[in-house]
Order: sequence, then C-alpha cells, then structure tokens
Amino acid sequence: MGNALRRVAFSGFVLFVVSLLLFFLTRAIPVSPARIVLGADATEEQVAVFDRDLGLDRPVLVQYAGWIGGILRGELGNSYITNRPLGAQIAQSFPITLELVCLAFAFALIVAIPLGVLSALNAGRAVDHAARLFAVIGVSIPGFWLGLLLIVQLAVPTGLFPPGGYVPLSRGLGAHLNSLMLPAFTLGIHYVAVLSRLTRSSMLDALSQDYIRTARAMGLPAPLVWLYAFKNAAAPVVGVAAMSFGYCFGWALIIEQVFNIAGLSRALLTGIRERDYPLIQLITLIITAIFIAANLAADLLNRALNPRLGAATQ
Amino acid sequence: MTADIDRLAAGPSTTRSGLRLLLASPTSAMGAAIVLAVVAMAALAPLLAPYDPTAIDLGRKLLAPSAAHWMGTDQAGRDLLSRVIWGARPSLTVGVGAVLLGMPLGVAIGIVSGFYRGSLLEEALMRSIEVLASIPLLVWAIAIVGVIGVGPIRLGPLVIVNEVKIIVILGVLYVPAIARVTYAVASGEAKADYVRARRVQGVGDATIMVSDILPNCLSPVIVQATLLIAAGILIEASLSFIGLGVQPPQPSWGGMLGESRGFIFGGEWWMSAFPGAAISLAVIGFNLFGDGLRDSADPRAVTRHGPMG
Amino acid sequence: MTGTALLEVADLRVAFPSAAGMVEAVRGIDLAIAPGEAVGLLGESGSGKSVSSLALMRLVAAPGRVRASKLAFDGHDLLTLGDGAMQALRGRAMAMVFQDPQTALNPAFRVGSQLLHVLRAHERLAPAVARNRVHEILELVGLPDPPRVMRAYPHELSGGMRQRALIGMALIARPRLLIADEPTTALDVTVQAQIVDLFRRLRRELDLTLLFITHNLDLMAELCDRALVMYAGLIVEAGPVEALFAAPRHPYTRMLLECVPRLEPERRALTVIRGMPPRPGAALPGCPFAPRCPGADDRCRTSRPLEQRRGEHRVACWQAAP
Repeated sequence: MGNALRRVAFSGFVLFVVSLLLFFLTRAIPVSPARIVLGADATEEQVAVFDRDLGLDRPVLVQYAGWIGGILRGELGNSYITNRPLGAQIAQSFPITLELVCLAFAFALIVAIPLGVLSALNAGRAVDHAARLFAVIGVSIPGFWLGLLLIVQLAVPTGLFPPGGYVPLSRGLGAHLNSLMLPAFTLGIHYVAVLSRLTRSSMLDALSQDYIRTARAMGLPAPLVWLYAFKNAAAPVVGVAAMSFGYCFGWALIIEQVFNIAGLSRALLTGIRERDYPLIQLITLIITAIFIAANLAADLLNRALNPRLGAATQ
Repeated sequence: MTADIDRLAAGPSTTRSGLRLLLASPTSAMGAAIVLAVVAMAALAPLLAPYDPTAIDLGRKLLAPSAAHWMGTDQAGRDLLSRVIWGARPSLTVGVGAVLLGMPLGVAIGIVSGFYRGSLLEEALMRSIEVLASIPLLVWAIAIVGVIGVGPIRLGPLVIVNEVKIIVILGVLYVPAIARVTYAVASGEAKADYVRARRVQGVGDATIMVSDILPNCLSPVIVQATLLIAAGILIEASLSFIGLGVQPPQPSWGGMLGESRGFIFGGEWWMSAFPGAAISLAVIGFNLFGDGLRDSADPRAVTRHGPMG
Repeated sequence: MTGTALLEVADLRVAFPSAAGMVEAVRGIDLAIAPGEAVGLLGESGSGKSVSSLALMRLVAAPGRVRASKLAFDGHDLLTLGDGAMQALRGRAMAMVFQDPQTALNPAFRVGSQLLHVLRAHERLAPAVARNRVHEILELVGLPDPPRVMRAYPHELSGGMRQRALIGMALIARPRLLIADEPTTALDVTVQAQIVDLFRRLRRELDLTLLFITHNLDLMAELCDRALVMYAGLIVEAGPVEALFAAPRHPYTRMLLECVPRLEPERRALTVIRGMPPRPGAALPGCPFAPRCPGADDRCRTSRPLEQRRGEHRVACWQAAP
C-alpha cells in the first residue's frame, strides 16, 4: 500500500513539474499579449498598463503560482486575450471529447481482448492470420485517412451515419450516438489492433509457462486452464490499455477535425488561431493531466494484477 | 567466462546471418522494400517527379488520373504524382531527423543509468526520463507549434522552418523511449562478468561503457528507432493535416490530405486516396521493417511503439 | 513382477519435429508398475526420462508424436481414450509432480485456490468439505498452518514449502499413481532429504504407487524397490534396486555407480564417463552406448542389443553375461 501511495505522490510531482514546463513554454511567444490585444501600434505605456493590470509583469514563477492556485481553486477566470470565460469554453467542449474517447476505448477493449484470446488459442490457424493482417493494417493506417474514407465511402452513400458534426444528447440518444459511431470506430481501430496483438502474445506467453503444464497435469478442464493463463496475461494488457487511454486523447483531437466535431480540438485550434495562450495552456494542461493519470492507473493496475510486483519486499 | 569473452568479441548482435533472416520473412522483406522506395522518393525527388510540384496551372485543375497525370491534379492544377513524390521529403526528414536528434541523448542516458544502476545518478536520470515520458506528444506538439507560430523563425543567420520545430519537439520527447530500451540492455550488461573483469583490469568506466556496453545496445536501439520513424511520419502527417506542419505550398502528404477535405464530396477521390495511401504504406513499411529487424536480432525482445501509443 | 500391473507400457516412442524431420527422443521403452511399487527411472539429462513421463500422462503436445504398442493404466487403454476422459484421469487416477516448484505454481492465484480448483475438477464437494480436504492434504505433506498457506501466493512460500504444496496438489484427488519428475533437483540438499522422507511416508500412509524420475542414484536407492536405467531414449538395464547396485550388468550402470564420489581411505581421482550422450536424431545403428563403452565390439556398434533376462533383472547388452 505504501508503494502505491508513493507512486501516486510521484505522479503528482510529475504533473507539477510538467505544468511548470508548460507554463514556461507558453511564455515563449513571439508577440506579447499586450500587443495582440491592443494592436501592434500600441504605445509602450499602454503595454505597461496592460501588463500590470493582468499581472503579466510579475516574475514568471509568481505568475505560475497564481495560475496553478486559480486552477486548484476552480477559478479559471477569463482569457486575457479574448476576455472570454475559460471555464465555460472548457466545460462545453471537454465532455464531448471525453465521450468520444470513452466510446472508442470501450469499443477497442470489447473487440481486442476476445480477438487476442481467440488468436492465441488458435495460433497459426486461419483466424490468427486474419487477425494479424487486420492488426497490421489497423496499426498503420492513419486515422484521419480512414475517417475520410469512411465518410466518403460509407456515410455519404448509405446515409446511415452523418457525414460529420456532433449531435448533442438533447436531440435524442439515437442520433447522438450515431453521430459518434464512425469517429469512435476510427479512433478505436488503432487500439483494437495494438491491444489484440498484445493480448495474443501475452496469452501465448502465459500458455507456454510451466504452471499451465501443471494445471493440465492435474486434470483441470480447458476453460479453467485458459483462465489460469488469462489472469497472468491480463496484467501487461491492462497496463498498455490504460496508457492507451491517455494517448487516445491526442489522436481524438485529430479525428474530431476529420469529422467536424466541436470538442476540445475546435477550442484548441480556435485558441491557436486567436493566439489565446491562456486557453491553449489550459487545454494542454487538462489533457496532460489525463495522460499522467492514465499512466498512473496503468502502473497501479499492473501492481494489483501481479501480486509479485505489489509485494516489493518479499 | 569464455562465453562472455566470445560475446564481447562478437560485437553488435546484428550479424550477417541476422540480415539474411531479415530478408527471409516476406513481411519484413516487404517492409525493407517499402523503406527503400520511400527513401528513394525523398532523395531522388527532383529526378523522379515529372512536374514541378508547386507549379500552378488553373486551366488543368481537378483532373482525374490520366496518362499525362498518373495521379491527377489538385485544386490548383498541380500534378499530384509529383507532389506525392516530393511529399516524401518532409515525412522522412521529420521522421528520421527526430530520431537522430533523440538518439545520442537517449542512448547516453540509458547507458549511464544502466551502468550506475542503484546509484543516485541513476535515480535522478530515470526520474527525469519519467517526467519527460509523461508528456503527451501529439498534444504538446500541437500546442507548442500553435504558440510559437507556424512561420519561420529568424535566429540571426539561421532560418528555422516549421519542420525543424517539429523535429526538435519530437526529438526531445523521443528521448525516454530510446533511453528505456538502452537502459534495459545496459543494466543487464553492467552486471555481466566481463564488465567486472574489465574493471579489475583497470579500464575506466567511460571506456567500458563505450566500447563494451554500447555495441550490445545498438541492435534494440535501432529497432526502436525504426518504429519511432514510423511514428514520426504519422505525427508529421497529422500536424500537416490540421495545418500546423509543413506549410503550403510545400507538398506534404498530411497537408495534401487536409486540403482534400474540401473536395471529397465532389468526387475527386484521387486527392485523398494517393496521399493517404502514401502515408499508410510508409508507416506500414517502417513498422514491418522494424519488426523484421527485431525478429532477426532477438525474437523475444519487447520494444515499445513509443509516442504513437 | 507379479500380479496385475497398474501401469503397462510397451514400445513407447516419442518423436518431435526438427529441422531434420521427426526425431525420436524416446526410442521404444517397456515399463510396468505394480500397485504399491516404487519404481525409479534413472538417467542423465537428455536420456528421455522426462519426456517418457509426459507421454504416459498424454501431456506431449502436438507437433510431438507419441506411439506405443501398449499404454494402459489400470486396465484403461490410454492410447484410445478421448481428451475429456484423459483429463478426468489426470489428477484423479494418475498425477504428476514437476521439477521446479517455482514455476509450476500459478503466480496469479493463491495456493489454496489452486488446490481447490484441482479438487473440484474431480469431485463434487460442498465448499466447507472441500476446504477441509485441502487442510488435510496440506497437513499430510507436512505444511504447518494450512490456513496461512492457503491464503498465500506461491512467491510468498519457500522452495521446500512450494514443492510440498505441489505434492499436495497432486495427491488431493487421491490418485493411485504418482509420477515425480525430479522433484528434488531444484531444491537445497537439506530440503531434498525432507522431501524424500515425505515421499516415503506418503507411500506408507496412502499406499501410493510411485514412479520416481531422477538422475541421482542415492535418492533413487533410498526410495525405490525397482529401477530402470535409461540412456539415449532406451532402457538399458532394469531390475530390483539391490541387484542393480550390487551387480550391475550394463557398462553404463556400472560406470554410473563408479562416478558417485565416495568417502574412502585412499584418495582416488573422480571417475568420469568419457564422451557425451548422442544427440537426439543421431543415427544409432547399434547400441547407443557403444561410442563411450570401453568394451564395445563390432557387434555392439552395428546391431541393437537384445534384451536378456535373469529373473527380474533385465539388461540390453551384448557383453552382459547371461
């Protein structure tokens, strides 16, 4: 238990360091915020006033403390570039991206693990070869191209799915889910490929272990033998799956753009276009925090599933 | 002891027999062929491309593939085949450049950490690597390029174009993956008898690390590097797709796909099909090549697919 | 050997695929074990003894191939038995204990769960009754504090405790035959002695029939009534343990006995048998031991020796006195 707590504390520390780095990097801007808001021909005096009002003339570390403090208190304030409330913008777009990622992830797990187990139990046969071919394609085809292909070849001709755009829940559950179907599929396919291959190799590795031979020698029925293997095989798969959840958020941004979904990607790209550094900063921080949390979850799950790792003193 | 000495004398593990194994498997041979093709396209673009990739000819815009234009033309009348060929350059430049940038530091950190395993130095280095590995690559690449801007930066006599910014970002963020692979090998080797023997002989630590441990790390690092090149190609394409990568009118596969978005409903399928296929083939090629390298060096090795996730 | 045999094996051959085609690791052995007997199977690494035991339990997986003219347990013909029936036999009628207790137990399940799984695979029992049986068997194999052992994961136990737990797992469904494949090789010497004592006690208390596979002559002598000596996939000599030790008839057996270091007043150099056992798949026209045998002649090198019997003691050697 102590080990787990230490791991959590370290993740917190990492988040702190990374957020500091992020803050410094977003200060590496070519044009000062004052000039963006006031215009390129603002006077020195106007710039100074602007900076003082918004605390932009204080030392960077002090500014950072203020920023982090505000976030931890839940007071996100307004962007000093656009003067729009940051919290509202995030609250509007974040749930959409989150839902997309969760759907894609659920899809990936539901398909990948059985597929991987099936491939392992039928290693070398047709099922296995087909799954492997599918996996190579799934891992290599760029999601944004697949998305375009699906829109053009599937959504438009059949009319079963909308060619893009997000339908909010308020307009009906069916239409809402339908608008996320193709994007979730596109986003998840990569992870189906990765996770199914990992499940397969992990299962094969477990099945070749001595304890499986023992289990068979003791006369355990086949399904129980598979469970014996699976419980050992699960650990690395779960770990990679948790990490994948974190990576998924990055790719979700791209897929959202393909399908014209108004999630975090739109907010982020709008922020980039308008040079809204506070918004860019905040969105990046949120996704980074999720990424770190996902890695932490992967680590903790690994320890929980593998009793040997948990008891480091044994 | 004798075995260790033999191993020491044998050098890096990718021997001639490994190369034969690499080409023996059909998938890895295919991967090698694709990699070769991509490299050829990038290197020989001026010779291979039939037209100037940036030459605008509005009279010949949006032409379907034909004898004159094997891949058709885009919305500005530019020959797509030429653009696809030239598009290999930024993909390869970014993919390989990022890896070349990250390798020296990654390998150095991995070897030093592995060699001094258990020491404070190793802890500090590996913790730093952990921090770096906690950064989601794609998001930060988008954010940093977004903040700095896509235009070229003038630093005195140097002009830093967008590709270079991406190479630097990727290169730095690749360091953890390379360091971890190197560390895995180095920490094992550092405990080996032959290292102890060398130390007893009075050979300095640095010499041991470079001449004895480094060669053993090369093979898994090269495999990891190949897989990272594949990831880099995909990331560059993604960034160009949303406009934060290679800037127009420079041809890039991702950028071409991005531009094709306005035309897919009009039936101009060639505008998205060819760049999309190019990206896919390049990524598949490097992945297969990397897998093939790994199988020929050590079939049981486990490498990560890195930032591609 | 008198009476009906519990296990009868005739001309057992086990082959595996290799670059050069199917290669026989076991080249035709005969074996019979009577109820209540303790039989030792002696041989060095690569002699085929472990593979033979796996073949008896039909645990040799494809693409390995098992052939025999007879393979019967307690009257059941094991060669024609279906997978389901064979699975029912394993653990319940015949059980096996493996060499390395570290890897033989599943690290992801508690020891108690694994024992319960085996028990429940063969008998329908109420949960409380099942737990009691597990406790009993753990006590029987000499493990103190059965509840703690049941709750523990394999890595939390010592090597000796793990091996005892494994033996318990093998015995929990009350099999008639226990095959022990080098059960002490991976353990410390002191622990080895304890495990051998355990086997002796179990034989007495459960009237267990034992097939004890080892390369250690002394252990075998302590535990077994009869022994078979295996070399290069063939049985070269078999008979009662006393006869084998007192008057070995095969050169290999003789040299094995001489190799054992002894405490003697005069110092002597350690005897070694020159050469190496033949690789599996090597062509062996004659006696497999001929290349290393000091007394081999042309007949030994060209034709496989026929078995000669002197009562219970049989040997396959052209040079052996009839």
